[in-house]
Order: sequence, then structure tokens, then C-alpha cells
Amino acid sequence: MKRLFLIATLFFISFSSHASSVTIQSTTSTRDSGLYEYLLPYYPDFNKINIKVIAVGTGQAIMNAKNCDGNILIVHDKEREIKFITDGHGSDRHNLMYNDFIIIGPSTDEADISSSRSVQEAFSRIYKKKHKFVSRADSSGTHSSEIAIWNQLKLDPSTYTGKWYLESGQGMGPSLNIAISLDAYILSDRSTWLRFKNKQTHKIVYENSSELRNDYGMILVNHKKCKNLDYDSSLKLYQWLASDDAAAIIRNYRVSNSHVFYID
Amino acid sequence: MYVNVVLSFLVELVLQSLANIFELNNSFKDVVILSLYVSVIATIISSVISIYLTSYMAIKNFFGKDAITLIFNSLMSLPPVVVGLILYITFSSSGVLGFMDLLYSPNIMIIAQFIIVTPIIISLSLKCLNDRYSLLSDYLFSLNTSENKIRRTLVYESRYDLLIIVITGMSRALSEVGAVIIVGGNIDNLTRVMTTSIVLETSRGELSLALSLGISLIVIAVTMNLLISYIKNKLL
Repeated sequence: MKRLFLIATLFFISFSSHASSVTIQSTTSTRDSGLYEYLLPYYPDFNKINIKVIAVGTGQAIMNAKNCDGNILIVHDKEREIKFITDGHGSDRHNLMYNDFIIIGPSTDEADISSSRSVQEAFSRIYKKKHKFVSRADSSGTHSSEIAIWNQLKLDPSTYTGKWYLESGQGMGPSLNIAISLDAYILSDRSTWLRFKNKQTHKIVYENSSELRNDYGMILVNHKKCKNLDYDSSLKLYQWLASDDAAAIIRNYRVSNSHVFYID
Repeated sequence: MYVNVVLSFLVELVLQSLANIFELNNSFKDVVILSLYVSVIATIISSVISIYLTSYMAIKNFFGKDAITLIFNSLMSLPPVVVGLILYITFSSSGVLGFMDLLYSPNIMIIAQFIIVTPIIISLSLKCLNDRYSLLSDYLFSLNTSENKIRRTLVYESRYDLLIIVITGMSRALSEVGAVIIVGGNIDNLTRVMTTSIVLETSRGELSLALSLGISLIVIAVTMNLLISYIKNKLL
């Protein structure tokens, strides 16, 4: 029995590597857009360090970074990003890039969203029509933006939860799958939608990039709070991602011939 | 009419998946290898420990045996997500075992699957060895040998049933997704296994690719079972 434990212990020791590694805690939308696979190989030290990308909702990404399980945080919820820094978990923040949110709906567009003049009007039409609407409801950045619009309208759709207001509690992709099979409307970020393959007959019914701007922020996790993190490697990658070189690559990234992310 | 549309959609999906299987690239191979590596190691470690322990438990009646059996039987329904969550809290950098630096590595996926599989193997092999022991106890005592010899004979006589139990455990490990996606993080080239890539491709709306991964998982399971039954017939 003792021998067995010894073998097991040796096994785990032999496999735990100590090469320097940087973990990026990211939102699912940037991962699902395919940006990291495109961008990170351009990093000069790409082959020297181990870059791990963990893609979860903004809420979970922030939680993981608070637990010191990430060197860099890439999310899209400015309020919570600033709170993260004022709470002392992050040491620096950079406006990485932006794109926009869009409303996806069935091609028949029964609630007549495409003729609405503002996103508020679009949302109130869905509310009045009681047309099926899928909400992420997973405390992601997209979810916060959706809630902000309902709040501006002083409407509370959550009283209709399970009737026409459907809270999926899942990521962007799974929620899009639900919306498509239920002929429902949904608020999505443009990058996920561009890359999404199971579109069927759904289409963009409302877009206005200045009104529905979706900013992605990048935060360097505070190494003074998280002593386990390799500060030099994280800072180097952070500075490269914030550099003009990286910006040019991000600007150039295209999915099915359209640009996905913008940088001012 | 509606059924027709659904059927043609399904047929199209399956055809596309079959086409995908034959064109899957290198990264797919790595994903399959990692899947097998994690699940096989977890099952082997778990099987050795579980069968070793249950061989002791089967031939003895001791205080609390029923309680232990009950506990392991209940632990069989432990949801993998909960296992993942508990391991995340424990092995997170701010957790008690954070210093081990295991989070987001294949090793912690092995630990997770070990925890999921062990109650299954313990419960089933305890039942199997208990039953076999009550059948064989007269014969075993007539041999008049040491307790160690009795345990070894008991396990040897139950080898076919135990093999099926080990396969059951392995299937559980291979098909599990809730725990490995939390502790492994589904990192490309490092901790991405078949089930987590199915989740990923589904979330990207690549349903046919996701389905082809699912079909490959079944093909692998069938191949593995054929291989094991071949070994069983030849060697055991």
C-alpha cells in the first residue's frame, strides 16, 4: 500500500512542469471568435512560454482572477473591471479593443425590430409583443449590457421568466443555439455571431455600433496580491498585447471577410 | 411535413459528420490521445486501489461495513460538476493546495476522474467480491492457507466480473465533462479532451463537427471493448 502511494506521488511530481506560463482569463466571446488562435502565435516569445487561455463568462473570469488563477484578465464589463482594480486585485487596465452588440432574431421578425429607431425601442417592442427572448443570465458582460437596457426602460422582464423571457444561464454560443431553435430574439456580440455556424434562418435584426458599443478591457492581475504569478512573463505579454504591433494584428483579423474587433 | 424537415436535417448532419471524421486533423489526434491518457490513468490508479481495498473488506465482517458500503453506493451519484468545483476551490492559487500548481493541468483532470470513478469501482467490486466470497468461502477455507492467499484467489476467481467493472469505470471517466472542464479549463493543446471539445464546438454552432467528435468517442469505446474482450479470451 505504501509503495502504491509512493508511485502515485512520484507520478504527479514527475508530470508537474515548471516552465514559465501565463494564464489569460478571458470571456467566451473572444475565444469563440477565434482571435487568440490568430493573434497569440505572433507573440515573439510564443514558443518560449506557455500561454493558457481559459474562456469562461466575465463573472467567472473575474472570480478566477481574484483567486489568483490568472495573470491577465480580458473581459467586457467596465463597471466590474474598475471595481476589480479599486479592490486591489488588478494593477493596470488597458482598453484592448471594441466591437458591438447586435440583436439577432428570426427572419420573419414578428416583433418588427428592424424598423425600430433605437435599441430601447427594439427592446420595448419585444416586451409589448411578449415575443420569446433569450437572456444569457450568467452575469457575463453581454448579460450586464442587456440588463442595463431593460433598466433604462424601467422594465423588468424577469417577472416573465420561463414564459417568454428565457434565462439560459449559459454562454453566448449555447444561448444562440437555444434562441435559434425557439425562434426567439437574443442580444449577441458581433464576433460570436460572425463565427457562429448554426445560424439557420436567423439574422441580424438590429445594429447600431455607436449605441451598442462593446468594449473589451484588459487587466494585469496585481502580482503583489498574487505572489504565485510570474510577474515578468505576465507584464511582457500584457505590454505586447497593448502594443501597436498587436493592435495592427487585431485590426486585421477577419471572419468571413468582415472585421471583428476595432481599436481607436 | 415537419418530420420530413427534421429528418433531412438529421441525415445531413450525420453525413457531414462522417465526412468530418475522415478529414480530422492533427489536433484532433492530440485530443483523443489526451482523453485516453487521462481516463486510462485515472481508471488504472482507481482500480488498483479499489480492488485492493475491497478484497480486504469482502472477506471480513467488521463494525461499520454496512455504513461504508452505503456511503460508497451514495457517492456513485456524486455529480462531476461538484467534484470539479470542490477541486477548483482546493487547488486554486488561493486554496489550501494551491501551492501544488496543479490547476489547469492534465494531472488534476486525472485526480477529478479518479474521484468520480472510485466510488463506482469500489461499490461494484465490493458487491461482486462479497457474492463470490459467500459462494466460495467453504472451498477457500478448505485450502487452509494464509489470508493473503485467500484474497488473491478470490480476486483471481472474480477476474471477468472485475474486468467489466473496470470498463464501466473507464466509460464513466471517458464520458465525463463537468469536472474536467472546470479544473482543466479546456485549454487548446494542453487540457482539451473529447468531451470538452464537443462542448466547445457546440457553443460555436459547429454541430456537425461536435457530432463527429461524439461518434468518434463511441467508435473509440467500441474499439476498446473489442480489444479488451480479445485480451480476455486470449490471455485470462
